[in-house]
Amino acid sequence: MTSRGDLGFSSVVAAVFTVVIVIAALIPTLLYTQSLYSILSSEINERRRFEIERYSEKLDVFVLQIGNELTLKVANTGPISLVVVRVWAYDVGTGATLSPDGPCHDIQPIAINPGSEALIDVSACVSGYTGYVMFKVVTERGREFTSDVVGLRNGMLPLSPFPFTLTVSILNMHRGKMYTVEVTPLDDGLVSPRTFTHKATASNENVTVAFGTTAGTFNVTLYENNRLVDLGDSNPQSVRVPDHTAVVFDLERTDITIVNLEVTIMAPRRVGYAEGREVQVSVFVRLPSSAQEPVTITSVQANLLTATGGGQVDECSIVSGMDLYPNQMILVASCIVTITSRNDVTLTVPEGAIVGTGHYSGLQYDNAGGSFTIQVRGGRGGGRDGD
Amino acid sequence: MSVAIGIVLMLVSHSWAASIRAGSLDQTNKEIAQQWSLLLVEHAVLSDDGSSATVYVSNPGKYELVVLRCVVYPRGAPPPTFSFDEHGPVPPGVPPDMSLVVPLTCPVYGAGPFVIELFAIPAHLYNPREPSTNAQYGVTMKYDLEG
Repeated sequence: MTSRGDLGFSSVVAAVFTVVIVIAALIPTLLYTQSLYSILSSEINERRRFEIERYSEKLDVFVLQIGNELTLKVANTGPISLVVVRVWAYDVGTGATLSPDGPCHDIQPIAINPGSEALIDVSACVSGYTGYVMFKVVTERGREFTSDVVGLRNGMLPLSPFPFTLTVSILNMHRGKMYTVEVTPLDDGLVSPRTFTHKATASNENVTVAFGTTAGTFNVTLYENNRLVDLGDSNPQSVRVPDHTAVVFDLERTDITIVNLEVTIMAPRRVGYAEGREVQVSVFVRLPSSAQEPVTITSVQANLLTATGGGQVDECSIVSGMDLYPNQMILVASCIVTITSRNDVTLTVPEGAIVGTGHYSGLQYDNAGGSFTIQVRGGRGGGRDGD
Repeated sequence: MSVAIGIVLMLVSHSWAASIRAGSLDQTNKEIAQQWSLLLVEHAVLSDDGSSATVYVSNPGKYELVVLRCVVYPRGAPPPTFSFDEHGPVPPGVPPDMSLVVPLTCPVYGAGPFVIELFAIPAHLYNPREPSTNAQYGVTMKYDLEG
């Protein structure tokens, strides 16, 4: 028979063993789970560190032409080392890769330390290609860095960084005015130079100026003496290069016709004869009212006045450099003519003795010939006669 | 009798503990696999007729991935309804051989600009007969594509 005390003791022992068995199974499980959690935490931390490193990567990509080789210069400007594993080259218009099956071939992984740079030859990848290309560099951690868009000709960078030429023509300029053409990019296009200034030295002068550009949309504006020229919708003009590469601003001025300068000789119509009598003669020049521009008298011949008959030209004071406006008359010479005989004196200004330049056109204006006759009558006395 | 009960009890408790440990290990492995599931769209280009796109992907993570969804649709529009479709494995690059880039052909819906949407899960969690199994451990990524 088992006593009641023994039975109670056995129950306690059984319970203890039960608890021990359960704990013996539970504790390793808890420890194991804890170690798994630790591993997971470690992986999460590593993954986080990877992501931080990934986004710390910074790479500048430049496209260079070194001899016959098209080269990427990749500079690690970030704080950590990175490995370039792949280079893509693709047409920016279509997105198509230049290498038929994807990335450029024969690019070996390149480790680049912070602050260092490396050169990657991509000539084979773009061999013979003409068009606009962008390069994309992929790192081991999965970041992508792109170059600027570059225009290639036969797989090489053109000598000029501006592969296109935008020509701007200004027609029929106004002489003496200052014209400024301003080319402003409306997107990421580049242009050089941005402005061009020209002072018209002749009226109706035409000028064409070339701007180097990359592909893009540009606003082309014409200023006259720093003021926008009112040409309606024609100024400013918006052009998209390379679809359009020429701009014309026609100021629509009329052609200027040259007229002859008119010569007027002013002297007394009659003088009484006296041996050695001096007569004052003035030579004026007039710009006809039909002239389309002012004229500057640029030269007057010293011997513009000749005398035939009973007199001779002793001396002339010449004036030039004056501006002459239509229908205006100015003095160009003041002369002394000496009466030498009783014959009439014929004063003549030959054609072309007075020369001027048109303000707007820069054209040369010459005088037409002119003459004047002084009648010499019999009489006495000497000295000057100026009536 | 008591000893027999004790042994049974011990076996039951240990098998329960083993089961718990196996479940925890499996769960941990899946979560770690998800952590290191990375997919990078390196480049994408539309076909000439615009009906499909070639999407070049690489795997900078640690585990091979299976792409189950690759679809191109208009940016800002809701993604089209599209069942899982296996696009092939994308193995991870192993330094120094990081040259693994996998081209995927993906259908295109609507007009550009587009967004490319990819869904991938670790290959060892993928069940071809039941693709949606373990789908909660997959990763989704989007990539803008001008078109």
